[in-house]
Order: sequence, then structure tokens, then C-alpha cells
Amino acid sequence: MYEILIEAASVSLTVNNLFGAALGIFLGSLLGAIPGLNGTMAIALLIPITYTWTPLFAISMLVGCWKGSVYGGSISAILLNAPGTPEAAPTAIDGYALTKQGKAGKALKMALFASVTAAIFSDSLLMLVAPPIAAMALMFGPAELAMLIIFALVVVSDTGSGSQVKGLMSTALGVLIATVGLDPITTQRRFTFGSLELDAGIGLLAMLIGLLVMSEVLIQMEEGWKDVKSRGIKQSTNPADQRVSWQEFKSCIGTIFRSSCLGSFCGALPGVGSVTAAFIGYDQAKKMSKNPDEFGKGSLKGIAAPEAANNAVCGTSLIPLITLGIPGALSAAVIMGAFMIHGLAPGPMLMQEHPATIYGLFMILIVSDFFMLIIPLPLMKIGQWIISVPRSYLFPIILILCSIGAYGTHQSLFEVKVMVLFGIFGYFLKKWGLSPASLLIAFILGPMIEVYIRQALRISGGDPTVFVTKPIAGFFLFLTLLMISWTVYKNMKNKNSNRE
Amino acid sequence: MGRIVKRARRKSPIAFHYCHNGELPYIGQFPFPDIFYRDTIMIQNRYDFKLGICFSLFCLMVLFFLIPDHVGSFTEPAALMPVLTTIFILLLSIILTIQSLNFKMKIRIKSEDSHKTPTPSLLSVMAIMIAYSWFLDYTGFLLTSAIVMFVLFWVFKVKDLKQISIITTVTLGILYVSFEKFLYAPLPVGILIENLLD
Amino acid sequence: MKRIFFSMLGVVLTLALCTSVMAADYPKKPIKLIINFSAGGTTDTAARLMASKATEVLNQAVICMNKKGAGGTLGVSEVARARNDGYTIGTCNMPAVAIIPQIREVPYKPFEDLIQVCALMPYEYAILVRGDAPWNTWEDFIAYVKENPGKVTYGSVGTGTTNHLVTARIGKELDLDWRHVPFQGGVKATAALLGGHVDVINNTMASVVSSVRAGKIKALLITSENRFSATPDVPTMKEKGFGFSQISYMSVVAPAGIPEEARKMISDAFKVAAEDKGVIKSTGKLDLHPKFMDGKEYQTLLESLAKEWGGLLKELGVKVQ
Repeated sequence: MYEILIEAASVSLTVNNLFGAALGIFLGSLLGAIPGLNGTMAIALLIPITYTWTPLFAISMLVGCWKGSVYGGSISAILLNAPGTPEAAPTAIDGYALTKQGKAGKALKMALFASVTAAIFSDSLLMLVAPPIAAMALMFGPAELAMLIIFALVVVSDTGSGSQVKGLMSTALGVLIATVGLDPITTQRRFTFGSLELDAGIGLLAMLIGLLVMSEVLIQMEEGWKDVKSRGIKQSTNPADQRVSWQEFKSCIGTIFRSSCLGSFCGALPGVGSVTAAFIGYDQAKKMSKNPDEFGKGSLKGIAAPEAANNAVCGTSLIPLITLGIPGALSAAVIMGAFMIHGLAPGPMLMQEHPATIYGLFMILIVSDFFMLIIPLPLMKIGQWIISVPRSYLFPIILILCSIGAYGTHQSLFEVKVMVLFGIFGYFLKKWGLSPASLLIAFILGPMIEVYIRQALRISGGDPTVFVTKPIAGFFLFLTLLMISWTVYKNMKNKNSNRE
Repeated sequence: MGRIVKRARRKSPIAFHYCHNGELPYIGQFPFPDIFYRDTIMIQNRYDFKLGICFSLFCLMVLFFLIPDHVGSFTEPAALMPVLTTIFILLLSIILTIQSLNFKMKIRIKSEDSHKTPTPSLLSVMAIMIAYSWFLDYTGFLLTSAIVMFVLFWVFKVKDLKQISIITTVTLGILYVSFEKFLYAPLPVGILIENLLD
Repeated sequence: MKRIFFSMLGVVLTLALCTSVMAADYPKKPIKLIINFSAGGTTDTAARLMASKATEVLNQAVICMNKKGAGGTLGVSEVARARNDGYTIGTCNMPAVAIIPQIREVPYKPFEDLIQVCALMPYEYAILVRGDAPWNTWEDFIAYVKENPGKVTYGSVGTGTTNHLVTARIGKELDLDWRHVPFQGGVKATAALLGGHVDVINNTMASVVSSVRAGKIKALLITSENRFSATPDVPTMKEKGFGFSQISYMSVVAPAGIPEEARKMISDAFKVAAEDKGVIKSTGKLDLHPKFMDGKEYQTLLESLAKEWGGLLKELGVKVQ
């Protein structure tokens, strides 16, 4: 064992590989921070050029890039209310509120500390307890996943929108939009209007960029139209407003820990992903909080919770990848390609055939978590400078970046059209008081519910009792019902107390 | 003023809660002045009625025209999810319409803000972006983006041509170099340009 | 206004200078290879490895682009739409030309708008069960299914894929009563198998070979034509007396009507690539086995496969629109 570790250290902790990880983190956080561009695109585009590199250098750079972009997304979410990545959407709620109060630095640093803590937590899980976690992940079949996702959807359906009717409307709209494309079970066409591109469904990234970034440009344009050339948001010069004190960090530790556990759990389950983790993380912090009214007005916990959750996904989503050859998240799937290109077939034999490479990768992961503390700092400075740039200079650039971001991932011009349409649609959603964030999460979760329920019913031969008789499925169904009845009870109580 | 707003909130949580960025209102405190909320209440309420009607009509259209034509008959398993979701949205929009009728506005302050319709420049940006996404197929990324950036800057009333040229060249130059030279991922050239080059 | 125009012209010219083109005989500029699956999959990896070898042979870059989605039809339709000057080619799988066009309308005519330049690599498939399953041979398994009608479930990587159709046809020929569960791709099907949520799946060998070596998954029957190198004891369908197998190659397609000279050069370059020792070694690490086949031969094979499967689609329970 020791020999392996020493060998692993000697092959992995070389200047080259560490430089690769650092470069990856820098690129990732830069691309994540630029509204319109994102890390998945960066990884997808980087993979082909990693051919000629050594496997550890390539993989550590890609993993670094991924980690960086998950954090980087929060920079644009906090500073411009335009999340650079889907998983940063809930961060924008409290982060942008803090920026408006002139405390952008505090928000950015809180996000960074929460991210790094969660990343270390998740990477330690990956190193220490990968096999049992992988075994647990496999226990989730279609029936269990269906109930888990329904639970998640119920939990997050009121995020980012105060009105229940409108929140539910946004959610349902998201589910409806997600049915565009081929039916996942019978491959019938649904709402494709004769376009082959729509067979593959509406691209998540294109839609995200439109809904969250381009629509925000339009909204901010309208709000500040009269003085569009005016400077951006003034920041407080009080140093206490630009940093996170130990006290403040300590008050969030519980939230960060819970979010890290949640994120790690979501990461290990194939297909659940970081967006879900971030939204649930935000919601649990709000529900557990003693004064939930703070949320939405610049609560530090509201930043720490989603950031910890989405960063915790990275480490654990490598668990099923390394132990079973099954990627736990979208970016992990892309990184699996890097393993394959370098002749490392992911699966249970990986650990036995290339132990030094895998332990080396673990070491690089942990070291790169500490890099994360330093590398994004200059980006923060640039970011803070950017919010003071006149919007009239910023917006044309952002709009062009949005289109290249939509084009980039699949190198398809059709996605640009999708992005523009959803940008305009998102503007009207925001004006009507519907929540694009709820729509987005429902767009991700809705089709999963449909697929898993139909698969579960096919497995059971049409018998719907599987959702109750399977212990895990039954447990999540119970939780969902508990959640709904709790919400109803709380609403009734509020109504009664209002009447008095 | 804060007290009146709070009373309105008790009467109708629906109409009050939301102001458009997904932020919950923050009564009477920095950075939102009170006046912001009065507008929000009125606007949201006015929109709610129209929104409810429009969405109901939209759902009926989806149910009776789009689903039969573009998915299949209601009994097919593939149509189940779209049908259920649409019916759900229909119910919600009917509830929304009724709620907006029930809500008696206590505060009637004339809104002086021009939030009613999008400004002409906003509409032009939307039109430019639609045209941009369409022209990309024909004139390629670099040329179209350069022209669109000039037009956008003009709409945004940036007059300094030297600055505009520098910003455009630098932005597109970075994108070009990083895509074509570093990532070997070709940017779209456009059908027209392709024909011209040969 | 004039100033706006001239400064705009300046920018455009600066950028246009970057995209100058040289003149020479074919191939006088880089060739675009559209890979119809996502980056990092087996198709993508094999195609990129061979493309980099072909680049050396052609002395001109073969640039890979991924255009995934809708069972590979998106990428193929992009090739069919491209100009037939020999500078746009793509990879193709069997269903995208022989099966899917018969299930739903696609914007290309598979045998008229496209020509198969050459076939490069057969995909290798197998019927797989969990490592701790009670069946060790195909006969054991079939006996179990027959004893327990309606209890066994089989997973595929999607409705209308070869994995689904072949397994369904086996069921039909042997008169088995089992249920089909389509998953979204091989990864999810494998996860469901490992978790014991379905009893058996049909998947590509390359994607599960690591689990097979570790004993977590057993192969019962190889459904492609030849035995698989990592599991030499597992019989093929032919050996078990079936009159059909699961044949799909990764092939190179081009829009119909490309110059014959270009077609031949591409075909020759990829022939060298598929038979290159370095390529075979790197693909071998992933248990992929390139095998060159002439384009015309493959085209004939595809046409017969299209007829063979087309007639069966409705019977096998695939909805034809």
C-alpha cells in the first residue's frame, strides 16, 4: 500500500501535473465567470487537444477546469445576476442582493470558502469510502430515482419565487418545454415541428444562457435605460464589507456541512447532478434556518449553501466513474472521455490495473482544492472592477459571448437560435413574475421523473405498488408527502395567525 | 408607508410577493425605496389578469391543436406527460385569473414609471439578436458578430468609434484565436462566405 | 456614418486576413469529419485516433467535430446537407441509415443522399448479466426465462436501437415472454444491470469490458459476428443457431456525388489508419478492434440489413410513424 502511495505521489505531484491542475482551475473559473461561457463547453472543447498530453496532466487539467468553472459560475451570478453555469443559479439570489448592498467582496469570498470546504469534503469521501458509496448508488434503480427526483422537485419548486401559483406555473412550464424532442421510451416525436435538431430536445446550455444571462441583460437594460451609460453598482469601501470574518464563516459551518453531504450524495447518483444539488442545498438552508426571511436579501448562508452543494458534486461524481465506469454528472461523462482517450477504460479494473494513476489523481484533486483558494483571487479583483464598467460597454460583449457560448458546446448554430428565443422568453417571464430558475430546474428534473416512472412501471409489469414496496422508493415518497403536508400545515397556521 | 404595504401583503400574498428578479421584497430598506413596491404591486396585479387569460388560451391551444398534431392521441403513453402538464398549467392560470380579480387594491398610486411596455431600444436589441442568430448561418461568425457589435454599441449610444473598433477587434480576435488556433474547433464560416471563397 | 462604415471595414478585413486559404490539389484544405456521437465515447475515441493517422497520410488536417443526438441522425444529416466537394465527411452507425429512417422521417435519403466511403470498425455487442446471476450459459438462461414467463426484464440502450431489435428478435424466435426496458444510453443500462434492476442487457462489449474482467458482469452470448477477444469462451449467436446477428460498423460517409478521386483518397487514408499498428494498439487498450471494409461492400450490406430489419419493426413492437 505504502509503495503504491509513494509511487502515486512521485508520478502525480510533479511540477507539470500541478501546473496542469492550476491552469485548469484558472481556465475553468475564468470561463465560468464570463457570462455566456461555461465549463462544460470548455471541457468538451479541451478533450480533443489533450490527446498528446500524458494522462495525469490531461485529466488533472480537466478536473481542475471543471472545479474552477463550478466556482467561477458564482462570480458572474454574484456580480451581474447572470449565472455563468446552471448550478450557480441559486447563488445569484442572495449573492446579487449582497452586491447591490455594496458587499460583493464578502459574497465572493463566502462562495469561495464554502466551495473549497465542500470540495475537500467530497474529495476525501472519494478517497476513503468510494466502494461503499458506489454500492449505495447502484441501489437506486428507476423506481427509487423517480421518487427521489419527485422529492427534489417538490423541495425546490418554491425557490426564487414568492407566489405559490406562479412558482408552480414556472415549474410546470419547465416540464412541458422538456417534453420537446423524442419520447424517451418509445422514441415518438413530440413538438418537434419537423425540425431534426429538435429531435434531440432543447439544449440545456443554450436554454440556460438565454434564460439566465441574456434575459438579465435585457432586464437590466430596461431598468437602467435612462442612465445606461452611468457607472455600475457602487461598492462599499469598508474592508469589513469585502471580507468574511471567522465569526461569519463559523455561523455558516453547519449549513456548509449539510450542503456538502447533500451535494456528495447527489454527485454519486448517476444523472442527478449539480444543479439539483445546488437548489436543494439552498432550500434546506432556508428551511433549517431560524429566520428564513433573511434569505433573498443577502444572507451569507444563502450563498454558502448552494455553493457548497454544487462543489461537493465534483468529487463524488468520480466515484461511480472510477469504480463502475458510470459517470455521475454531465462533466464527469466528458471527463470519462479523457480517461478513454488515454487508454484508461473506466470501470472496476481501473483501480487494480492503474493504482498509481488513480491514487495520483486523488492526490492532485486534494492539492487542487487548496489551489482553488488562491487562483480565483485575481479574477475576483477583475470581477469587482467589471461591475464598475459602464453597462453600455459590457452588454454588447456579453450578448456576443452568449451566442458563442451557445454555439460552443455542440458547435451548432441552431443552439444560438434557441438561446436568443429563450433570452427573449426569459425577459417576459421575469416581467410576468414567473421564475426562470424554477423553470430551469423543472426542465432538468421533469423528464427524469417521466423516464424513471415509465421505466419502473415497465420493470414491474405495470404494477404501481413498486413505488411503495421498494424500501428506498417508499422512504422518499413518505418524505415527499411529509414535506407537502408540512407546507400546507404551515400555510394554514400563517393564515390563521394573519386573521387574528 | 411600510405598514400599508404590509397590510396589502396579508390580503393577498400572491400579488405581493414577487418582484421580477426572483428576489423577495425587502420592505423599506436599502437598496429598494418604498416606491418600488407600490409599482411592483400594481404591475404584478395588472399582469396577473392578462397572464392568466393568455396562459389559459395557450394551454387550450396546446391541448387541442399542438398535442394531437405533434405528439399523438391523448391515450398514447408518449402524450401522457404533455397532457397532464398542460392541464396543470391550465388550472393554475385559471386560479391566477380568479385571484387577480379578487384582489381589491387598497393602494392606488398612479405609476409614473414606464414599465408598461418594453422601450424601443429594448425591442431593437431583441430584433438585432434574432436577426443575428439568423444571419450567422449565411455570413459566418466573425463578420456577423463584428457588424452586430457595431450596431449594438450604436443602440447603446456609445459614440467613440476608436473604442468600439478596439473592443470589437479584441473580443472577436480572442474568440477567433482561442477557438480556431488553440482548440481546433472551427467557427462557422457561413454559406455565403464559403461560396465566395471558392 | 461613413466613419462607422470604414472602421467596421477595418475590423472585418483584419479578421478576414486570418482565414486565408492556400491553393493545391485535393486535399487542398483541411477536411472536416463530423462525428455523430458525443466527445469521449467509444465512437469518438476510435474516430479521432484514426483521423489523426489519416491526417498524416493525407498530409492535410482532418478536423473532428462532434454533432451528437437523436440516435446519430443529427450528425449524418449534417453530412448529407454539406457540399459534396470532399471536404466534409462524417462517421455513421448502422441504425442512422438502415433503421431510423424507417421509423421516423429524416431529412435525408439514406441511400441516395449519402455514400459510404468505407467501414472502419465493427461494434461488438453481447447479452450481459450480473456477475452473481445464477446462469452461466446461454442455455441456462433461456431455460430460466421459459420457466418464469413474464418475470424477466431486458434492458436496451433505447427503443429502435440494434440492441433492442436484436434482443427482441431473439425473444420472438425462441418465443420468450420477457419485457423490454429502454434506457437512455449504455451507461444507464449498465448501471441498472449492476444494481439488479433489470436481469439482462444488450450493450457494447467495449463499454463494460472492465466490469467483465472484474467479474461484476458476465457475458452470455456475443450477438455480433465474431467472438470477443477478452471473453474467448462466450459463443456467438451464429454458433447458437440463429440466422442473424447484430451488425453495425462505424463507417465514414460523405454526401453523394463527391469526386471519385476524393472518395478514393479518403478511403485509402482510413484504410492505412485502420490497419496501422499504433492505432490498433491504442484502440486495443479500450478493447476496440478496427477492421476495414470497402465502402461499396458495406453499402450493399446496409441495404440488405435495412430490408431485413425494416420488415420486422412493426412486429417487434416499434411504433412506425
